[in-house]
Amino acid sequence: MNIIFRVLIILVAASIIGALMYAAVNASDSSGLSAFEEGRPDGNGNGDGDGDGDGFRPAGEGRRERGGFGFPAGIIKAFVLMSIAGGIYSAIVWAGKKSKRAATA
Amino acid sequence: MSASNRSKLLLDIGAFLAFLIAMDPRFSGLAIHEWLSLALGAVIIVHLLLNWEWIVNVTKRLFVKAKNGARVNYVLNWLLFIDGILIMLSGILISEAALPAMGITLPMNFAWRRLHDMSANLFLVLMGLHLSMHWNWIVTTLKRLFLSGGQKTAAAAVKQEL
Repeated sequence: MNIIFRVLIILVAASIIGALMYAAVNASDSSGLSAFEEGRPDGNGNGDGDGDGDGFRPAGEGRRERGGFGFPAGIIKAFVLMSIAGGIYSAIVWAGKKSKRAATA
Repeated sequence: MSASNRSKLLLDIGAFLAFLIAMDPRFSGLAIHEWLSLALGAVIIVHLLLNWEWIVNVTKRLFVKAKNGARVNYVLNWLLFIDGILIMLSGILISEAALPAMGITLPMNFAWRRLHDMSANLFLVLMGLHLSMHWNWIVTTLKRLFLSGGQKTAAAAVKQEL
């Protein structure tokens, strides 16, 4: 019962945040919306979202995303971005500790 | 090591590996990217449930006697949660495999595609900060899991974070 209640809290919080974002994006984008509205693919690889430049996705993206396993550039990018963020955080923490030690010495 | 810490660590490792695969739709293919990301939503709920006590404790004493580190961690976790919702929402709205397979079609909006990319990049930065804030716990718990007889307990590492 407790777990169901907690899951409900998480889902309600997520729904509220999601609804606010949806409303905000739709409100701010109402003027330029129609230019980008396109047909949706039917789930069998047909439709406009095939990445050929005339559909919803930017040119050159769709076909490769649909295919099998390729070079994991996105995973490498993820590692690099996370490492940079983690490195900056660690450097800030290290500098903070060093200055604290210097102040007490 | 407590069963709770072990299950937390194993879940987090599994979720992280799935997250890395999901972050690269060109590597995995669009269908795996979408279905794996939807599954990750459920995993995040389990992650929150496993850490519920910490969330409640820090929420209660956020403005009273929480340490600065815990406050920063708390705010960072909220940012991760909000950004995660934005990724899921925009991903659902631009879905080309999962939703059409369920027979659901939604009106397209290019703004969601841009938001999906931007929020995914922001999520990587926030995830890097999240991991570095919990690095002591990760290393200590991994040592406890694979090398018995570590000096510092995982519980002590958790206490240190609080």
